[in-house]
Formats: sequence, C-alpha cells, structure tokens
Amino acid sequence: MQACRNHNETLMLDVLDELTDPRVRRDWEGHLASCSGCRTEKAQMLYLLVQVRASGSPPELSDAEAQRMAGAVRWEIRNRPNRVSRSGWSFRLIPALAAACVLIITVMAGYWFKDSFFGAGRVFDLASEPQLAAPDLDVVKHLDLLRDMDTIEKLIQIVDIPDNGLSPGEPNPETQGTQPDENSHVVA
Amino acid sequence: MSADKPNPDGTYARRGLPVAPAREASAAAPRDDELVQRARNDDPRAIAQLVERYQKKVYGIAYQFCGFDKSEAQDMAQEALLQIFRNLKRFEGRSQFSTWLYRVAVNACLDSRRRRRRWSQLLFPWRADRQDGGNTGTVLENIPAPEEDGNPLSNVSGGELKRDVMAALDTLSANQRTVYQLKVFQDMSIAEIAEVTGMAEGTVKTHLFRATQAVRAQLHRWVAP
Repeated sequence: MQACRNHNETLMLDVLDELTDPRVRRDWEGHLASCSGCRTEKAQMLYLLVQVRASGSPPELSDAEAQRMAGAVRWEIRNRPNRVSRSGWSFRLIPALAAACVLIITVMAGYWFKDSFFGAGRVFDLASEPQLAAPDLDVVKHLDLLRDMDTIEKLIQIVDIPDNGLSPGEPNPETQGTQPDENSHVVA
Repeated sequence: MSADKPNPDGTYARRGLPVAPAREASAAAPRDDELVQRARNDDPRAIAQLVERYQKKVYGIAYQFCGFDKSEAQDMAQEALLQIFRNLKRFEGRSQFSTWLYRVAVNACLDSRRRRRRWSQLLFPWRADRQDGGNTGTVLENIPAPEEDGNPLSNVSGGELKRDVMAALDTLSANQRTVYQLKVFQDMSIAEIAEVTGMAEGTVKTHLFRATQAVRAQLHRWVAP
C-alpha cells in the first residue's frame, strides 16, 4: 500500500525529526494511526535512513592519525601563516596562466616542428633524386622556351609549304637534275 | 525554533550536534570565543586546542564530501582546517564560531571536490564522459573496499550499500547533496543547515525533500521488505 501523496513532505520531516510544529505533529500522528500505507512508508524510510547513516559514518581516526593531522596544521600555520588562500581568484589565476603557457609552448613547438619536419622532408626528397648533368639541367631550365621554339618551327614549316605541296627542303621531281649548281646557270 | 538556539559556549542545545565536543568539555575547558580570541592573537596553544576540538568533526564532513575515502578525507580535512585558521582574522563574531567553522569547512570541501573532479576530467576524460552520461562508473571505481570486520557477508553487503549510497548521492545536485549530507550524516537541523550554507530555510527544506525522494528511489532495494 502506498503512502498518501499529500503527506509526503510531512512524512519526510517526521523521519528527519524536523516536525517541530505541535499542531502539524498532532494532525500527522492522527493520520498515521489510521493510515497503514503511511505507517509502512515511515518505517521503511527510517530503516533506510539508519542504513545510509551507517554507510556514511567515517572510520575512526586513530590517535596517531589525529596527532599527525593536528601537527601538520599547526606547523603550516606557524611556518606559513600568510599563505594565500587557494580558493580565491589568485588561485584560479594560476591554472589560467599555466594553461596560457602550455598553449604558447604548444604553438611554438608546432611552428618549429612544422618547419623542421616538413623542411627536412623537402631536403630529403631533393637529395634522394638522381643528380642531373649540367646540360640536362639547362634543358630542364629552358624547357618552356624550347617548347615554344618547336612550335614556331612547326608553324614556319606549315606556312612555307609551296603550292606543290612539298616542303621547302624536299627536292622537286620536276626540276630534278636542272637544279643549278651554285657556280653554274641552267641552260634551257 | 527555540531548541536550535546556541548555548553561550557556541554549542547547540539540540541533538548533540554539530558541536558536541565543546558541550562535552568540562567546565574548566575554555570556551570557543575565548580560544578564538587568543588564536587570533597567534596563541599556538589556543590554535592547538581548537584544532583538537574540531578536527574530527571536520574530518567527518570531509569524509562524506570526498566519496567515503579515508585518506582523501584526511587530506581534505587538513586543507579545510588550514583555511579555517588562515582566515580566522576574518571571523567577525556575527555568528557562532562553530557555525562559521562549518561553513568554511563545507566550502573548502566543496572546492576541493570540484578541483579533484576538474583534474579527473582533464586527466581521464573517458571517465568524465561516463559520468556525464549519468553512469556512476567513476564513483563505483573510486569507492574503497569496506573495512574488514571478520564477517564476509556483512563486508560484502556493507560495501554494496556504500557503493549504492555513493551512486545515489552522485545523482543529486550539488545543493541537494550538501543539504542532504549535512542533515543525514552531520545531523544538523534545517535552521543550522540554512545558516551554514547561507540558504533560506524554505530552500533547504525543498532541497532536502527532493534529495530524500531521490535517494529513496535509488536505494529501493535496501528498503526493508
């Protein structure tokens, strides 16, 4: 059987020994006498409270432990009486400063590692390539220019092709044998 | 709330907490306010007496705030005591010394827990992910083994209960958890909790109600049949 919902708070106050108002107490006790649900709930909550209290009671400090703690406190007060409280803003400032330092160091380290790591990689890659001879390097260097020259040469060839369809360097079969020497004239 | 009015020696008349040591002290023992006055003038004997008077109480608070780990609780308690005595000159005497002391101790423990959690999230993000996902794996892993008492059955069930309680507490919000721990483990009244945490009594009551409901739901298997 459930406890009455409208008496939940009074029940809790009774269990925790906080029902100080005599009128409320009298009413509550009258209700308890007639309501078995509330009686059961009260008994269960009291039992639970005892259990919880038992589980949370601290183990006894031995005399030696108590003396050690008291001695440590007295020593601290005597030798460092004006140490700044660790709960103030100054205490919160310390982790903030530490975090800022860590951040700065991380950024610097990252920058340094980036340079050294990737820089080293680049050097390593270049070094691992086969060395080229100087003329070859020259060719590579002027590759674009050579490519342009090649294109121009092809263009000239196309433009210079005569109507007979032969390229300028090719011998014409019609005029073959009549090609004048450099030192002679063709006789018709 | 006349029952919650503090005695002249800084103790509360109610339920024996939170400042039981001073109340049990003999008539010859100096009162809190005398000791505080001397401690503020750097009297080492007064400081020693105050440390001795309150260290177990502060250790108890630390134990519950640090997840039931004895050695961590000792470190946390030491840190809290140091903060208390380093800030002693800021104590203006507007509240009882014990109330002020508990407030500083609770804040120190909360700070320490937050710091540890932050470091844990930084160093072990996968654990933090699990915790964010509502899983209490981290808590379960961190809970130390229960103290041996010779009975294996009670050891096992005690360990399980401790783990379940920690898991249940871990589902609460920081305010709910603080209020619940001060009420259940330190047996403070709602008025005292309100004074220590700086919340209104109604707010404390609301947090306490929600926390109790949540813990009750989480620990349903431990409820008596």
